[in-house]
Amino acid sequence: MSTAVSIRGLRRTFGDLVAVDQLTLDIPGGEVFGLLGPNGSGKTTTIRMLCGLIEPTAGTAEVAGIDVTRAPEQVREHIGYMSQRFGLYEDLTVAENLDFYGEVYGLRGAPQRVRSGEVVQFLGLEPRLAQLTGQLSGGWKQRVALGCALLHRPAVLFLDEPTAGVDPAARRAFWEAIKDIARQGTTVIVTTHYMDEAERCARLGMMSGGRLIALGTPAEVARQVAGGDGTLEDAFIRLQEAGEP
Amino acid sequence: MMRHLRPMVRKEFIQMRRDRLTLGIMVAIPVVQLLLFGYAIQTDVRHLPTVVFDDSRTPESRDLIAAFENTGNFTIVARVPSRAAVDDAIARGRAQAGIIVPHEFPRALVGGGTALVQVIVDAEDPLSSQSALAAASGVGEVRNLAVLSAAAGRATLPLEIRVRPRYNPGLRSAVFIVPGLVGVILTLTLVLVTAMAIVRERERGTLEQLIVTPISRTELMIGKITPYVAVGLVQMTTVLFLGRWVFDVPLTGSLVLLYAVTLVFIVASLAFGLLISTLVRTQAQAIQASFFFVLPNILLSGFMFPRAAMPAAARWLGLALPLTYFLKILRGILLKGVGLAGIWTDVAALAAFGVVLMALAVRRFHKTLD
Repeated sequence: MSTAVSIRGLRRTFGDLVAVDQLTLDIPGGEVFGLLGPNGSGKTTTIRMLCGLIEPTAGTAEVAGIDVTRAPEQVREHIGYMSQRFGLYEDLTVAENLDFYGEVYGLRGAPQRVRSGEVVQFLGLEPRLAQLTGQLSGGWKQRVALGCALLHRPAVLFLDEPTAGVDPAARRAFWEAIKDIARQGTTVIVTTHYMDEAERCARLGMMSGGRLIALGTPAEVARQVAGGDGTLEDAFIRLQEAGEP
Repeated sequence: MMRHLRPMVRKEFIQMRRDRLTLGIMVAIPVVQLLLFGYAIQTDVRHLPTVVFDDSRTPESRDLIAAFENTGNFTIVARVPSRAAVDDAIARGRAQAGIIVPHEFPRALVGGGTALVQVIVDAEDPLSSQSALAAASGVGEVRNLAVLSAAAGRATLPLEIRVRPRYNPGLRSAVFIVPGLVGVILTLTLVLVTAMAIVRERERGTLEQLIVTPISRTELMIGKITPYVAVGLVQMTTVLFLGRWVFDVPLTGSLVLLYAVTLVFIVASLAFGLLISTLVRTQAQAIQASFFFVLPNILLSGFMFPRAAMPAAARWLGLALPLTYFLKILRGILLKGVGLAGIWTDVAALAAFGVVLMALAVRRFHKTLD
């Protein structure tokens, strides 16, 4: 599979704060790639730069073969994005949100109905279609947001802490869906600080203080950070302790 | 190019329909404002409560006081026994005017001398005292002429000036205020509502999700304002209809022209609201900024206070407000029946405002979070 995301020397500062620094990374297509790290380690900033939501201070990034800084509008046709904070319209029904995002992504008429039907069936949204999105529980909201991000069959799907505030059963169902999506060829890039979720990724990048400090399968990352027979959780805790004064 | 416009407009309409409170306010504002301004704000003050100290108590003095009352500007509320009582009544606010007729009044009328009749007006509010002052000197002049003519043995006056108030013959303030109200209400609601538009999406977190889609800046902006163009037209129709029906304000000129020009003004106002929207970070700031803009519009545009009376600086400032031009157009079409030929420079100014403001708003709005 070709490379879905290619990052070279990416850097972003906010005033004096260096949020992301010297980030170089390749993510192959069709993979579930996890960005792991404590709060403030630069995960969200990285994802936002890859989606063209904020501009990098230095460095380059290609998503689906398109340079994000040179052609952000073209990149948008090929990516799906779920923000950390729920970003759909709460005063629209589930069906209205799906219609809106479908059309904004250029779907019309019969193809739109067919694709919308597929997504609704895939995520089991049928019973909620007529409900106002704001009245849904956290788990359902995430599913609808995922549905809206999938309508245009993106090559790369970015999920920024998708399961924050979602109960365990809903989280499991959500991850089953993510695996299916990857199996169909979509690259999924997900940020998390849940260990069980990190274990489910094919590969992980561990971030700390804006830098990538370990890269590989979950087992490899655990060994790199926590040494010998350390677990991923040991690695994570070690990182957090090192970060605190 | 505009293929994403349709979903955006439809979404805004659905959200507008769901937000019953805002929708209700936007419909109620024209009605409430019209009734408030139309009924409460009367710049032509009449029937000032008046006290009289008639020291002469003759048929001639009663005749004079009746003449004052007949102007409609003075309503006698009390007769008092002394000059001091007149001052006291005005000071306490029981009356706003006092008439003092001296003891020697009838003798001066027939004999030589001059009778000094005093009219005291509470001029705290210059606006309400003006017409009373004018009416009082009017009464004096008419009386003088009558006495002098009689003495000169003439049956007719040598000169009469007949003033014809065109376009508002009854000199009613509603005729002046209501057309202006169309402009003020459009400015008030449209600037405010659109100023909130982008900020609301930013605050609710929906903007982040929206800007990763292929929708363009222009589509986003135009999609946001289109539903409010419709709201503006409904508001204007309400004011014109009620103005005609309740206050008998004439609709003299071409309605087609009026609506066409109004569309230009609506777009300029919405574009300004959008520009505010891109400059502020929160909805509270958006409200503040809108009022900061709306107030000078009401004061300097000529809506209530004549621009001709303003100092040069204020007049220049007024030229920077779209409402100033729109008011001229509104009054021109509605009251004078002026055609496009008579207002095209003002229309051109409005169109220029619209284009410049919209371009600035689109330029200011970047499709990024920072």
